[in-house]
Amino acid sequence: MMRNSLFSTGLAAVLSLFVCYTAFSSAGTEAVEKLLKSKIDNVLGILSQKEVTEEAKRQQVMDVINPVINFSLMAKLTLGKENWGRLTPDERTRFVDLFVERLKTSYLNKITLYSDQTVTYGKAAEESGKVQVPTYLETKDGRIEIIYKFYSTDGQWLVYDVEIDGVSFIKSYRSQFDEVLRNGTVDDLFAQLKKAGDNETEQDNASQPVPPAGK
Amino acid sequence: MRSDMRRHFLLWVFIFFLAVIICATRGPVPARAADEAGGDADSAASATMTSDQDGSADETAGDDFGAFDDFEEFNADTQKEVFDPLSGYNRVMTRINDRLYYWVIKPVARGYSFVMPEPARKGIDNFFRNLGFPVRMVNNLLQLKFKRAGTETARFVVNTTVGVAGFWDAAGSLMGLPIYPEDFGQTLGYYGLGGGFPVVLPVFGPSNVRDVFGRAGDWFLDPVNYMEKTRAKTAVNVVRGVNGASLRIGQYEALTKDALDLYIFLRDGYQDMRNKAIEE
Repeated sequence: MMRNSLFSTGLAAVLSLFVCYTAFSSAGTEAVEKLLKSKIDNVLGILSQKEVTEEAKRQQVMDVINPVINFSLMAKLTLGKENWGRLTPDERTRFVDLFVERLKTSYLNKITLYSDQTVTYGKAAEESGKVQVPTYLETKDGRIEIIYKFYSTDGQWLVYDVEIDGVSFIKSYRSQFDEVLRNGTVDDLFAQLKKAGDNETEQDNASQPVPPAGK
Repeated sequence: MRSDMRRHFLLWVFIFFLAVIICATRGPVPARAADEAGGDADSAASATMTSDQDGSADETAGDDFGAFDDFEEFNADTQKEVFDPLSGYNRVMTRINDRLYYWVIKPVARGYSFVMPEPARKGIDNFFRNLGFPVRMVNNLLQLKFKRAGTETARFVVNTTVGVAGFWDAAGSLMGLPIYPEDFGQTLGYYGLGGGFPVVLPVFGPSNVRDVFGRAGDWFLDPVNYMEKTRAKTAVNVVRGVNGASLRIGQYEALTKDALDLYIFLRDGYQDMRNKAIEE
């Protein structure tokens, strides 16, 4: 008898936990899906305007996405724990300022991929408090998968990484930073961040130290 | 001549299978190679750097930018250094390919798209995609993805007939049959073969040892390579390349424009992209 009631209470507890969990998580993913969809629709609307200059479009797109992307967190994650620890508080602020600018331009450049394309949405997945929403861009010769990764802070969902065909923004910048910092100093990194970005083809190796022979 | 080719192909498949089995049982090659190189000055330097930083790592939580601990995927102290013995050559080739894109491929693709209307280019793209059927089907089979191989076969039959030799993707637009891109590099990866070190190919761009072999394997399944005349073969491949590029103008620019270090960006990006493709 005793055991029986214990069992049923336990079962009830587990069940209610499970119900809570699923209810909570689906609410989370739904909210994120909705948020992302409204933002992307908004961006597509901006991009499809005919009589607006590119520059104005970029500004408008930034106004739309800026509130939902945590660029400074992205900057910190990109540098990585170890490198972040090497920086003084002043350098950290400087780095974040510099890199956020670059991240924004970089993201805006990727957004041009969205021009004249249709977007479809995959199923959002939640894992340990974070939600990933896959979106698919139907291009002229195939499709590109773009995954938006959200985390929640103060009841708000913010993007902390974007992954294009398996290539994460954070990871790809991170290995580039590692490469610079492996052969150089923090100041070299700042110099690189300032220099590159506003040109098309000359940016890659012009400022890059030649790798030592035999490496 | 033909049966010769076929015999060669079977031989290759057999060799690759053997290679796969050997590699799968012996563990990933690059890891061991990197271990062997562990004694050199480079990794010793990075090791001391890590221990230097241990003390200050704890301070990183106390700022306004967020905490690393909440983001496990990026929480690791350092990223593993990539074993990249060809980095010197790879950098040069990346630079050449980048120039080739801006100076030759892009202008040619632009001119081509000026004379060739988009629907025609899409049709040609569909035609070549349909020709890629043997590669996709065989590699789906090799990965035991029978349902996908079946879908691919259905696509091929429908598109070759209803879709007029493949120029119209009838299976996709009428029946909603998806395409399942697989190649031999992915098959090798599926059976546990790591990429090996990065190799940048002329024109084709970033790759790695495994995928170079993969390309060689797929070569035998590409119907274009069974054309008799070399000159015609080259012409077809040029059209295929230019036509494809004309539909992708802008993508390379958008992705690479803001790279700090183009080579590293493409190298690691390629690896991530392939890992994802192998997973699927």
